Formats: sequence, C-alpha cells, structure tokens
Amino acid sequence: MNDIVLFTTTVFLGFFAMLNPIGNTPIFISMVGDADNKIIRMVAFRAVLLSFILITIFSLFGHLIFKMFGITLPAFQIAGGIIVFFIGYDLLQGKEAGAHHSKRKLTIKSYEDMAISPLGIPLLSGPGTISTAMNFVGAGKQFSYTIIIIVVFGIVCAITFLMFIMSRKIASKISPSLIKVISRIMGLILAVIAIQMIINGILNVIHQNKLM
Amino acid sequence: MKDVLLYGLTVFVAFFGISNPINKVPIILSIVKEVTDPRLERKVAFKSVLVAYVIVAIFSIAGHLIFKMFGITLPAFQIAGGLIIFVVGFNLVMQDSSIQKPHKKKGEQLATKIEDYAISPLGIPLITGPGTIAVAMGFIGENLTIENTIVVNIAFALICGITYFMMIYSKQLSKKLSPNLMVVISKVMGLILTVIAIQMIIKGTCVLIQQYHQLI
Repeated sequence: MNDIVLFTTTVFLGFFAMLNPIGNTPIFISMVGDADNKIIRMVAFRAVLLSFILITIFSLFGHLIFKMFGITLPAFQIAGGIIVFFIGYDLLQGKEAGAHHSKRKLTIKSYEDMAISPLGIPLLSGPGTISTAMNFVGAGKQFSYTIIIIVVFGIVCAITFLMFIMSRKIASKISPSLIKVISRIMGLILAVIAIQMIINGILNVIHQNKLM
Repeated sequence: MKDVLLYGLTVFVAFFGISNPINKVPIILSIVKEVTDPRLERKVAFKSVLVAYVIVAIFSIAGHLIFKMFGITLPAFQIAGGLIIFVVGFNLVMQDSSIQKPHKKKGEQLATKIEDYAISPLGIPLITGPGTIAVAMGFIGENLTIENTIVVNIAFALICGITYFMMIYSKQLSKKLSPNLMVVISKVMGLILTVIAIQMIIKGTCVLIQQYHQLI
C-alpha cells in the first residue's frame, strides 16, 4: 500500500512539473487575449483534452509502439531523459523551451487551431510529457499502475483546466516574479527527474545485458 | 534451387525487419514535410532509396575489406550512426514547428537542402543503417559466393522498391491531414527517432563491452 501512495505522489509531482499549470497560465492568458469566457472555456478544454488523449494512448499502447519500432525501455529512458533535461534547463534559465513552449505569435489562427497546437501539443503534452508517462508505465510493474498513471494525469489535466479558466483572476493575484520563481523551481525539479531517468536507463541496460 | 529460394526469403525477412519500410515512413515524412513540389518529392524519395541500395551493394561485396581498410568495427558504426540519428530526432523535437510558416528560403536553396537530406539522414543511416549493413555482411559471411551476393542484392532491391512506394504514397496521404496533426506526428516521431538512436548506441556499447570481456 505504501508503494502505491509513494508511486502516486511521484507520478503526480512529475506530471505537475511537466504540465506546469502555474507557469503555463500566463502563456495561456497572453494567447487567448481578450476573448470572451465561452471561447476561453472551449480553448482550455480542447487543449487539455488533446493532451489527455495523447498521454492515455501512449500509456496504454506504449509497449506496442516499442515493439513496432524495435526499441526498449532503457533506450526510451535515456533519450527521454536527455530531452526532459533540456526542457528543465531552459526553464531554469528562464528561457522558453522549444519542445515545451513555443513562441506565441498571435497570427490569424482560429482559436480551435490554437487549442491543438501550440497549446495542446507541445505546450501541455510535449515529448517530455510523453517520455515521463512512458517511464512511469515502465516503472510500474502491474497494469493497475498504468491506471493510476492515467487517473493522476487526468487530475493534473483538471487542475490545469481550472487554472486556465480562472486565469484572469489568478493573474491579478499572483505576482509575475512569483510565477518566475515557481517556473525556475519546476525547471530544477525537471532537470533532476531527467538525470534520474538517464541513470535508471543505464542501470537497466547493465542489468538486462548482465554487463557487471 | 529450393535452398536459394529459402535463403532469399530469409534474407528478405531479415532486411524487412531491420530496415522496416513501414515504420520508417512517418519518420521520413516528418523530415521531408517541407517539400511541396511533387517532382522534387519523387526525386528525394528515389535518391534516398538509391543511396541506400548502393551502400548495401558495396558493403555486401566489399564490406569486410572496407572495415579492415579503415580499421573500423561494427560497434563504432552503430555508435556513430546512433549519434547522427539522435541529433536529427532532437532537432525535430525541439524545433518550433507549432506554426508552419511557408519557407522563406529561395526555392533552389531549399531544393538543395532537401536533396542533401535524401543522402543523409534518409538514405544512410535511416533506410540503410548499421543493422542493414550488418545483415548484408552477416548473410554473405566471410567467404562470399556469387550466388549469395546476388540473392542479398535482389532482396534489398525489393525492400528499396517497397520503401520508395510507401514514401510517395504516404506523402500524398499526408497532404490530406491537417497541419496540426502533422505537427503532432512530427514531434512524436522526433521523439521515437531519438529513442531508436539511443537503442543503436546501447547495442554498439554492449557489443563493445562483451568484446572487452572476451579479451580478458
């Protein structure tokens, strides 16, 4: 039982750092601009839904994808770790990471398109989020763990959705410098999670091939 | 005759597994997604397949000689190939492709760039990777007979043909997909490409360590 609680907490923290609702809310505000509440609701819902669907697909069928491309979990851990590390590093430096954030140029894109890209992917569900989810799936031994991952991701998605909807109110209360601080802490956490992923990957390789 | 057929089938299946034309297609697509001219498209597809075939042909005949001549080993080839693919995948993942801008580069410049892509990374190491070369060399073995060499070449030519048609056909299919979906596919494929790359590096490193253990 203790295991499950610990696992759930780890997954929650990992996803929370990756989706970064607090850091992404200001981006969301700047993107929707002064659209009315209905549109804000629609955009937020679509973006979060897309992100949730993508992660669910990867959590459930990840192993099939592995087989199809002839890749193994350790390889995914190492590659994902490298990508997540750079996202975290950019956050820590106060830059917007290419894979996670994208330059928000307000072109004449319809709000629907905006919800899918860049909001849904790669802002919410970037390769980093997918890697994180797949790594958790690999770490959990039973199928019930996969369900935990999906449920937890659903909860984080719901939090993000709520933050997006109430973004205007929140933005007026939290100072920009606090958002920056939180962003940087998230970046540090991401960088550490990333290195942990790489370490796990390397250890797995050594175990699987009985190299030591 | 039966033996030769069976041998050919085995080689074909091995090539198909390792050079897997089906799973390469989305990866290839995300690399050449900027191409709009159908003639250039065909040219790129043909060139990449041709490069892939020629390389396998050369290695199937003189592979052992080449490796000896340059003093290189298969693990080195795997690790180098893995590094190259990783950078390609990493750039796909990290690039800002959220809004597909029409390419501002002049048509000619873009064409040369895309044609360069046809050779590397498309032709080598994606279609013909270290694995493909290993299969070609492994099946022929140290003592190469003419029959074996011919069978290996025909088998790989078939694979190249399949890859070519899959590339052309799926490019047409991808035009019907929305740009947003293509962004999603491109990012995910970039991610998978980096994983394939690390997998190659792991394989190479494992072989290295095993060789090292045998030495002591």
